[in-house]
Amino acid sequence: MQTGFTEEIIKFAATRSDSAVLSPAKGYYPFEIIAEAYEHGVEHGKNNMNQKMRDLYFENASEIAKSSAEIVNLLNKDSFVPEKLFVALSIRNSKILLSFEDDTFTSDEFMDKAYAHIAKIQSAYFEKDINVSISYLGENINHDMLKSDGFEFGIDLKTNSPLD
Amino acid sequence: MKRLHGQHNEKVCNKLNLDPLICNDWIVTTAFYSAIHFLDHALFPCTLDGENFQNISEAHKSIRSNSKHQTRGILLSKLMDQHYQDYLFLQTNSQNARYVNYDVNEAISNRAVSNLNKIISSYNKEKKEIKK
Repeated sequence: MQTGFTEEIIKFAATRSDSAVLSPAKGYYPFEIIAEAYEHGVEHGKNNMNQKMRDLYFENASEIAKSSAEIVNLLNKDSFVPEKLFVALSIRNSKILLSFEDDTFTSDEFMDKAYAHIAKIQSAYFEKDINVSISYLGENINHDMLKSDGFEFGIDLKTNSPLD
Repeated sequence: MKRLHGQHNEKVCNKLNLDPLICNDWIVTTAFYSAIHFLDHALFPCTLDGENFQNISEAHKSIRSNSKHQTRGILLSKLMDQHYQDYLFLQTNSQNARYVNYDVNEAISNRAVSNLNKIISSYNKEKKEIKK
């Protein structure tokens, strides 16, 4: 079972700059942070906001790492072996993308079974109030386009080495 | 209106599918944008956890998800589960075409058309709405 990559996702999340952690939130601040700022004054709120947002980001990253392992595990049980994993992390909305050899990705068996796994994981995490969008790709990926859409973490699942 | 918009997009999808130039990415995209109108027409109005929704915008305001497309997926998973997987196929492959430089494999576009046809045929069977 491929699971070593979860540590890499967590390592990646832990080393992100404040600007990378805060910018994808796009003005979104969880209710409890706003409530605390109101209660203790704006300065106190500001001082604590960055750390709280970072904590939320990290908590979310841990859940996304877990959900990545779960979907890969389900796919492996059907003998579908993803080659690369890409993650776009944010406090609110994270995305997981798995790539496969074209022969796998375009096979009837894959198209019949693999999307049910997305349905299962996304629904389970939504119940835990975690938004994750999972999708699949074949080969010949435009990595620049992925990066520009926020997929800043990538890993080769065969070698367990992060992609540039 | 939703149904008519779905039919309009379906016509474009079928036309593209017959075109020898083959624009598989557009076949997938039009299949998805046809499917969402048929599904929305079938879904709304609906009630989820005691809340009434007249349309996808209302539902999206209440359901905290990544996008209206994901909100629709959540509603399908809870109210019309039989279409959730087909919808996910259409949604994800339509959105991901940009990551493969719009070079979408024919097997994917064929499956997209087949999923759209499944949704439409279920819709037609029930005449007015897909069985909820």
